[in-house]
Amino acid sequence: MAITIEQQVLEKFKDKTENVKSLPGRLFIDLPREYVKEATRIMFEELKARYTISVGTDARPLHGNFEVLHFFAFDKDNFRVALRFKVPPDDPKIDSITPIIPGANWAEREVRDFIGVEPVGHPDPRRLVLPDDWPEGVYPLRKEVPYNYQPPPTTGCEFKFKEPPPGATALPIGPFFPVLEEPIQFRLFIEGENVVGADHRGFYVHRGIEKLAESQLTYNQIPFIAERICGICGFTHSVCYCQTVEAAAGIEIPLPAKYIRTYCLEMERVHSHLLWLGLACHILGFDTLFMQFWRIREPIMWMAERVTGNRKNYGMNLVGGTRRNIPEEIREELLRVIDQTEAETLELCKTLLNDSAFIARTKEVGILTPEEVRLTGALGPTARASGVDIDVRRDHPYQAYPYLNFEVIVLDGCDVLSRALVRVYETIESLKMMRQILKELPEGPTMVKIEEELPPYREYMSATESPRGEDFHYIMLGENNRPYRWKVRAPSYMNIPSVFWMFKPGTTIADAPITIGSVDPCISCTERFEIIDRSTGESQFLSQKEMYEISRKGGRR
Amino acid sequence: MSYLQAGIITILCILIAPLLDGIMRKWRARIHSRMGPPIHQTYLDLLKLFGKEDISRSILAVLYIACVASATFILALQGDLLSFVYLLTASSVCLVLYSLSMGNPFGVVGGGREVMMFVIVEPVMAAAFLSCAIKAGSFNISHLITWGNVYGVQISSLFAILAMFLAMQAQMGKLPFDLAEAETELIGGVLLEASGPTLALFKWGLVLRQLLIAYLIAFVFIPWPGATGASLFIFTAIKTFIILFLATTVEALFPRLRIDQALGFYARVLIAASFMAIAFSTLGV
Repeated sequence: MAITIEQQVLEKFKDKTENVKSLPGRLFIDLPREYVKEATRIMFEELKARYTISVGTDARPLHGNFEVLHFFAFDKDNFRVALRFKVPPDDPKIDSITPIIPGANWAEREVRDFIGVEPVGHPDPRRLVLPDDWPEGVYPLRKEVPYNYQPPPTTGCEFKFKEPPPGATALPIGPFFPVLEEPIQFRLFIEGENVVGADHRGFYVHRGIEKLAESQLTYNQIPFIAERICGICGFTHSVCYCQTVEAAAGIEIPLPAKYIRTYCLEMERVHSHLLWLGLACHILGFDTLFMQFWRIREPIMWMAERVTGNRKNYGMNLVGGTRRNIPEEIREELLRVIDQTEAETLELCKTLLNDSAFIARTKEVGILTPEEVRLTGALGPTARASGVDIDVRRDHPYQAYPYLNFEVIVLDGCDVLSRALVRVYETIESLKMMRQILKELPEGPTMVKIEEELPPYREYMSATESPRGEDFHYIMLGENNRPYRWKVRAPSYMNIPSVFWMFKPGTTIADAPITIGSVDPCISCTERFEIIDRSTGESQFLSQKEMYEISRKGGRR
Repeated sequence: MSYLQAGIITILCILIAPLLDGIMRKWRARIHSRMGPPIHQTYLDLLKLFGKEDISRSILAVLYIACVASATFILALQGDLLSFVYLLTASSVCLVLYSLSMGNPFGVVGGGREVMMFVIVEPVMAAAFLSCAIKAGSFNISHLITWGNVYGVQISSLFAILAMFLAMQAQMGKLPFDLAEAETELIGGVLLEASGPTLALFKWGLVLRQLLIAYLIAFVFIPWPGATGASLFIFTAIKTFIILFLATTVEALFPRLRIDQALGFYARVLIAASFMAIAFSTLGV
């Protein structure tokens, strides 16, 4: 019998292991922190694991140390590994793994911002998530910092963007841009029409949902706030949260609930992909198809309302099942909408793909090679369009996916066109799955009653395939009916940094918006403004200080 | 045609251009499956802009619309072809100068694109004119029209019409060649910094220019033998309207091209249509 991946991992680390926790399909290994670089190298380069995310936890109330966890996935084996490193609070440092895995760049900076564990040797140690005026030495996810802590007003701090290379001009794409109406700034360095470099600043409106969940909410409130993480694919967060809690606490939910969750997930994917296809056309100035894609998406939104009561933010999930069933009498109607959407999508995509100008604008634009996908950890359609065959629905089956027939769409064009095609074909697959679910939906209750308190300090990680890629949640259950630590890693967190790899030499300004758009970045809105003196007609830029004062005045009620 | 009549036609064009734009917006909206704004929406837009404060005032906006209006006057007067082309080019120059003077990086990129575009599109149009002028033996628009009415459509004029139609979208600043504005890439590019009355003048100038290009093709390149006086006016109006319709339909059916693709396209048009038109006209067919 072949050695399982679990045995391989344990064998590799057998001398160093301090503690092992083995769960079905999951492995937590505690290692000494000096060993972090070597362990990461073994996982990433020898065992070829896919890097998922890093999480920092303030576990001082439990054992006196901070924890830094690096997560890896073995997609062929449906297996996930967490490497846990304990970091003493008097010396909060750990070697950075970003030199080995570029995709860990953001994650390590986030751990530093929130928990205060310094990644030693990080190539770009600027702030990532915290606002520029946030005081040094206050780490919001440490347990002693209250959830509603407001730092005293400060001024004179500014984010340091990279300097453009000599001869190049900085062109800000965002944080308010006609086709990227989201609080993120891509700073392109351009020479004429050519893009020669880029920088980024995001997280302008970080809402601190993880902190809220750990300090204010209860298990059954979180599904609703999880759904509000994203305005497009929120349901996948809600499902992922629920299934992680359920798995950690050992709750088995009824089969109908699994089917209904899966139905809503696929419905969400169809609406999200059609929305993206429309936006991609809009970015290229193809407004006719933009409008048509949104027109054929409308019945899906209607369907969502019919099934869940809402067009968006379905509110279907609780820990232990779903709140509603899909009534027998509307299923015929839903099937009709599925047929109609399938026919219309095929017809419209045929139009799109026969358009030579569309092909000319997207083919061989924004190339991301398979090796770069591995390094950046890019996910979902972005990865699958580069020939990387990963899909959580098949690799790490969850909910009702083991019972469904579907194909994972993998293309090897590595460009924007392939990313569009992957989404087109996935939409069709999703519609097929929805049809199958409606036909096979079992009868029965959709909810289990949970009588006892969930057992504290058990942990688990799991993932769902959101429209943009793998949505990963890690949970450590806690006391007082709320989790001790809940970490959400949305797919765009990995996909957005991969955009910088797509700006290859030869990229022009015209290619930049569609390249950024091709990963379907999902962010969540705000920034600077200008004041004009009416009497003199002189314009004047607000200093950061003045802007803060105005905002504070406006914020007071 | 008398100065008075030409003057009346020019004023009519200036006043009616926003209405035609409104009708075209409605038509585009129908292609999009939208309701679209009411057809007088462009007037409302201009009125609103005129009422707003101006933070980037420039005489270039006035010059821009003045150039386009004068070109309209010369066309209506059936005057000198060279001054017509000169005025049309001068309007583009106003736009470019405006965008460069504002110093916004997006505007600078947009201005650069506008220059590149007219460097390649202008010869396409000029060659079409030239082929007609060679045959008529004059640079006077009225002679071109008379010649067209007498001798009808020839091989060279077919190529000239083709070249004009292909240059039309770029001359009107419409998709797939609205590169200088390119809202989803450059946030409005050349007009990004314009606001209030300045923007209103530019916008009005732009819709007038679109009407002018359609009027030019209808009036000079598609002759309607036998029409004079009132019937000439009515036929020209109908032809102009149909051409605008066509331009709007094309606009709705294509995505924006990249600057290199656009330049490549016009380089081919220049060789395939414009030079052919001149070649055939020198051969006298």
